[in-house]
Amino acid sequence: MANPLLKELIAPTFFIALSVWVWVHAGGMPAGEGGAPGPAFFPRLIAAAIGLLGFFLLITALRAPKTEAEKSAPGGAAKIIAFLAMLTAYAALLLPLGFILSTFMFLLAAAQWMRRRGVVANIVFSAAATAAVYAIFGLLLKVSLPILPFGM
Amino acid sequence: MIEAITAAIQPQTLILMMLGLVGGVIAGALPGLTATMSVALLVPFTFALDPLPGLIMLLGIYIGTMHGGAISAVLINTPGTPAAAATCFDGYALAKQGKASLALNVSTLSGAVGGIFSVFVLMAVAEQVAGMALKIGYFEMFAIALFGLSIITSVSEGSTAKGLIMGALGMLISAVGFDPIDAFPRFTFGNADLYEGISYIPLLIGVFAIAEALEQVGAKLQKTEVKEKIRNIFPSRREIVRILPAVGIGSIIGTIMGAVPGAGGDIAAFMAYDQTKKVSREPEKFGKGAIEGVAAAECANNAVTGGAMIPMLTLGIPGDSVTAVLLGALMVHGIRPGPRLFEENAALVAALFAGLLIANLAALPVCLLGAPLFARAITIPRHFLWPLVTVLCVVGSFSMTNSLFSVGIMLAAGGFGFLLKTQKYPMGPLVLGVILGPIAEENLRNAMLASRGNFLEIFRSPVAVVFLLLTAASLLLPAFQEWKKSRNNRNSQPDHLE
Repeated sequence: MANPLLKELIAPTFFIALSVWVWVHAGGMPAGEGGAPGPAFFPRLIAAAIGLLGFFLLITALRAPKTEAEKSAPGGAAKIIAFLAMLTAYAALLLPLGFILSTFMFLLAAAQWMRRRGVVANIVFSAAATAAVYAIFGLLLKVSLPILPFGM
Repeated sequence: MIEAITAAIQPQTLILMMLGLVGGVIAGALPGLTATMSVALLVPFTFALDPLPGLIMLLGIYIGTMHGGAISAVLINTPGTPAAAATCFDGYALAKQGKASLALNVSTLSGAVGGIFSVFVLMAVAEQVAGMALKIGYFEMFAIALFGLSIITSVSEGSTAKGLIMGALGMLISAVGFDPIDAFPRFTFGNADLYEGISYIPLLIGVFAIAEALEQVGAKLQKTEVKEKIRNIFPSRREIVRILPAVGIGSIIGTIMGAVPGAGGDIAAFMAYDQTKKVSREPEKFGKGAIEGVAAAECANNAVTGGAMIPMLTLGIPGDSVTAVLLGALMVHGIRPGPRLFEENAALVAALFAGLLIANLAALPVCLLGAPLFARAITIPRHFLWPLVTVLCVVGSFSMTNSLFSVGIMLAAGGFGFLLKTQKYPMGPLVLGVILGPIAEENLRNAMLASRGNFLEIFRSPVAVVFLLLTAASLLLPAFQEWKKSRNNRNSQPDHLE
């Protein structure tokens, strides 16, 4: 089980690092003219705020009493990563395979993976949902969708 | 006025209005389809129609999307439109308690009241209100944006510092792209897709919908049961009395913010939510299923519809992005908005007002009758619902720019948002920061340019001073309340310790 303190420290550390990077990167932007702040002004102001708040959260996390880690669902992290990978693959295949095929395949794969029972119901749902989304977006609202593979 | 109503209720006009209304509710309920997009998609279809029915149909879509946004906000914690983001806080909490129908009906009733109120204000004070809105300069807009940012402290659940850092992160995200004054590319790394900045619609979809979908997928698969029978659950008399202050606040704030060019339904909804929470006798219930929270947010975002028409019709300045599209639609039909519109096309203007009123009234039966049907969506099995939601997110984001870049932004925001959510970082302030950051920056820098770097000029504007004082109160009040609470706790401690 991951150390809860370590998990609490990651985000503030990230924010502090982000604020330093933004401050340094904004230094290369031109200065303002005529009394008005230049392009670097706002990013640096925000970076300073993020840095201070990040530091505050870091100190707060270090000083907080130790707590037990919250119990999460078994295999939760693996499920999330797998689903995100499927979703990314769906987005990547949207243009090569076209909307209809890629959407049907994604819905079927996701439904089947999340609940292995009821293959027929999953197929029927995937087909119906794909058709409904196409009808609403592609036909009714005339959203430009890559219907066929490879832009055919 | 009789002639105007007669023109607005011609059969063809009514049919087109209802089609627009129903289509707008459906579009508004789907994450990714915004009111702006829905209206813009239908504009070419109206070219073949006469101006009045075409414009009233577009108004029907506008109002429908404002109502529809609440449906997904309540049922799946995903705002269907950016204006419904504040509705998620209490709407989804109510749905989890089995009160989805109640939440939807409260949002419909409040939204209708807000919309109708704003139409009456539009009719009564169009020219005068637009004249006041025109006097708002850079310092005033900066002060309004600052006030909007200060309400981050109210919409942050839990740690205020976490809320503030998310708000600041939102402002940083909004800084990506061409600088609004000097057009200097910031944080673009030579990527042309980033020159226009990070579109906040895919970002919004990512941090709300994708992050929620990942959370749902990672949780134990449980059948969602709705303990209450899905039926028309209207608020009781007691509940109606409870939401009256929220409806009053939402109507006024929404109408005013709609009339301020650049401010939109999302800002109005957050402001109304914040103010309602502040005056509530039970502020701790907000975020946990307070119907006042739903009422305030939905009333305000619907009240924006009439308010946004004020500067658009009288001055030719859009009140929000939807009215910017409507402005284009009017000009395509040969009608030029501005002060002369009321002289040259008085009948058309009156008919538009009547059409707007009728559309707001018609939204009531459409949404109330459809509420039980929409609420049943929550019983859809999760292995069907969440993959379908993510498909809608991908399609909606793709349709923004017809490129996968927006989809990439959405996925990245979703993953990042999910990780932060596990550490109790709230997403609402991020959205506020993204929306208000550019407004604050552009107006401050323009103001400093106009005043030759003299920031103290801001104190010469009464409007700006008022909003600065409200900002200070908004930031200091929670701290004062916290101090008072800890003092009371200390005073109630026993004198000796065992």
